[in-house]
Amino acid sequence: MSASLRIPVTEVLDEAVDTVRSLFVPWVGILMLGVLPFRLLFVHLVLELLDAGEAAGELASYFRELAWMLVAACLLATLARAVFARACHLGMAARISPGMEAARLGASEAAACIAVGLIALVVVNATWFMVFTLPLVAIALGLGLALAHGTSQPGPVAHAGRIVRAVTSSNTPLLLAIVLGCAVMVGFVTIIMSTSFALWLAGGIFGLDPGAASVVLSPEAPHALMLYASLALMLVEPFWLAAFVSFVRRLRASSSGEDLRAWLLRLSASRAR
Amino acid sequence: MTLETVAKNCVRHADRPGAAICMSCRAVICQECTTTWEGICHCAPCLAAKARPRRQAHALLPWIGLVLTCAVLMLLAVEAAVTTGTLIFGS
Repeated sequence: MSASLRIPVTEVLDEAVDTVRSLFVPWVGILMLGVLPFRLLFVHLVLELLDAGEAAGELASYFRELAWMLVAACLLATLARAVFARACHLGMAARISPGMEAARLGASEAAACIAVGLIALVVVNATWFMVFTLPLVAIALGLGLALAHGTSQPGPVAHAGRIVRAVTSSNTPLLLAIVLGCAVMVGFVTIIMSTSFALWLAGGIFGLDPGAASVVLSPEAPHALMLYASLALMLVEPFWLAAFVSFVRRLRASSSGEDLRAWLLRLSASRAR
Repeated sequence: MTLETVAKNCVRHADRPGAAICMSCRAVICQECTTTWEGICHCAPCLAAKARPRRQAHALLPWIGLVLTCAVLMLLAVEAAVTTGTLIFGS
């Protein structure tokens, strides 16, 4: 596999959008339901840490309990993501919704996903909101979940090797992370503006009193900002996973001989003419 | 000899047209000789060579390693959340 392998980002994103549209019911819903507790717990943990301030050190046992709940929610979210990634693989291969077959995760597949999900959680928890780690986690986790499909080895080392090979084979994962990062930012701003507009509409047009709601949902409140950011991440999540699955499928086709098989068929057809 | 003439027939069945190329030995192989394993096309001898060391390895070892790794990762995730979170948000 060379570093110059060219997989167009636009084609990957087009396929991702088509796949998410075809898998909307029920797989996107299952993904959202699986990820929601993790996102909410994460927001809750950060808000509790902010509230505790300098007393956070004295409440270590409480925060440890919250962190264990976050780990449990991360496992659920990772399994939901693994099922969605499998649905994307099957959907892209058959061009139709895969049915219950997508939920039949193999043991090796699930194990590889859980290992990658936990590594991503460790990195996020250790670095919190350091900007440079988020794209790296998005790339590694997306590739880890997408590459787990069809794996027969549960070992995390072998899986890490596959992720590194995929990252170094093309610059498409980095470009995907940049595009999807922009999508999260756009989604975040859109949610804030939509909420502000809805509050203004409720008060100015319909004569309702949005007093309490405007305090709770105000973008100036840290909890509202965190919730909006989580919502934006959740909205982009299906496209992120589908895009990385599409990338992995194209990568495998180019390194598995499928492209050579197609080339051979074209060659045979031209010789037969 | 050009690539086109080489690509004509299977290396083991001269009368059959090539359907794929083995990714290990790069030989042109027919449909019957092609086995796709983990999404990659192989001929039978190359696949057998790849499978041999796997059979010798103990099947439980990767799973034990995985469980231990996951347990360590969970502990690390909890301690990282508490320690780094307290340091960052508590100051």
